[in-house]
Order: sequence, then C-alpha cells, then structure tokens
Amino acid sequence: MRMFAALTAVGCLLGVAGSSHASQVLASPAVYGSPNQTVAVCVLGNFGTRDVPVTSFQIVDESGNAFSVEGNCGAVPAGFICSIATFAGSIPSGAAVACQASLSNGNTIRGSLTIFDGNGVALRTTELR
Amino acid sequence: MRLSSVLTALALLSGGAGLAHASQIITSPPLQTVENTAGACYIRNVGTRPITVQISPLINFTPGFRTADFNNCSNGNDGLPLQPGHTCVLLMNTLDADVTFACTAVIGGNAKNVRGSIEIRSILPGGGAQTILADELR
Repeated sequence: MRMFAALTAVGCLLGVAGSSHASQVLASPAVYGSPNQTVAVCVLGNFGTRDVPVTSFQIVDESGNAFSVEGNCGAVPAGFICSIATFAGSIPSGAAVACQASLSNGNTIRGSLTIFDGNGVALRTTELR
Repeated sequence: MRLSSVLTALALLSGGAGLAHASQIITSPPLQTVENTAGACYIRNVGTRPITVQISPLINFTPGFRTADFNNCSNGNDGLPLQPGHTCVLLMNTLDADVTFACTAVIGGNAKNVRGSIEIRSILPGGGAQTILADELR
C-alpha cells in the first residue's frame, strides 16, 4: 500500500512535468533574404478549436532587440491567423532577423516568418517551432 | 527496502533525463552550391540561459577543408557564451561550385533552446548576396 502511494506520487510528479504547457515559446531561426529585404512578416495560425492567448510576439534582430511592428496579437483565434509586420524599410539590409512568440498552451499553433523586398516579393521564409 | 529500491530507480531515471543535455550536436543537411555562391549559418539562443557554440563548416560533409571567413560563434567570439536572445553567425564569403555546404554545431547546453539555419546565397554583381537555398540545423 505504501509502495502504491509512493509510486502514485512519483507518477503524478512526472506527469505534471510532462504536461506542463502553461507557457511555451515558438521561435524561428535567424534568417536573411537579400540586400533588398525591407519587411518581415510573422504569422501564427491556430488549427485548434479554442483561441490561444499570446503573451508576447516579436520580430527581433541578431541581438534580440525587437522591431516596432504593425498589428498585434492578444490571441490567435481558433481556425484563424494573427500576424505582425515590421514597418517598411526598418529591417537591416545586411543582417538577419527572427521571430518569437510566447503562448499559453500553443499545441495547435504553427507559425512562419517571411522576409519581403520592396515590391512585396518573398525572399525567404522559415518556420517557428 | 523494495520501496526504497523502486523509488531510487525512478529517481535515477527521471534525473537522467534532466542531465542529458551537457553537450548536443545539431547539423544541417548538405546544400548544393553553384557558381558565385556564398554560405552562412546562424545559431540563435531562444532559451533563458547562455550557451556555448562550436560551429564548423562542412564541405561535402567533411570538416577541415575550409575555415570560415567570419565566425562569432566559436573562435571569433573569444570563447564568450551566446547570450539569451542573441544570434551568432558563420560566414563563407565564397564557396566552390558543385560541392555541398553544411554546418555542424556543438551546443554546450540544451539544443532544444537553439534555432539554427543555413543559407546558400548567390553573390550579386553589384555587391551583397541573395539567399537562394536554406534549411535548418537540427
């Protein structure tokens, strides 16, 4: 009986560690398009049936500094997307950028970062994971 | 005694899972080069603790053929760890045509908190380079 109780307690502890999805980070690698890169757009999509709260959502430079963006994303609506974009010309022409999001229970979220040139042509895309 | 043995075994198992992050290797797939190409590999620390990074270029998936033209991940960073939120890069200003370029990195810390990317770039006539192929280090 004591052994059963102890094993149950250990099992619960391990289970909590495994299912702890309260907050998670989705992040892209740093990526570069070309000297003509002007805008970075980061998109989160929710394929689940519940809205997913977003606690932070940023496009950053190689030092981790966040760019000013248009759009905001308090939550990713169920079955829909949410996106942010840097202002035209604000990302550097000679350095990489990245995107990251902090989510509450984001198992149903997929995300991507895409870099565009001034004509709206996509130069480079990568996944957040 | 039996209970103690079982609990000890479970503790060792769970503890082992937590300790298995001393050093991990992530590597990109080999990407094909063409004429007038350059290469780059980025390592980004998305965790909350500093990590160390030792990154190497692989030509035809073999180390040692070429040294990087710029590398602030390993030797060029004076041994300083990569801080949370920061990115370091290995650059190859030119790559031979008809070979493959890849990168491999030894991460001191948990590689789960690292994002790595590799890019092959076409060198533009007027200067600069445009990414034409890309993938991730995993």
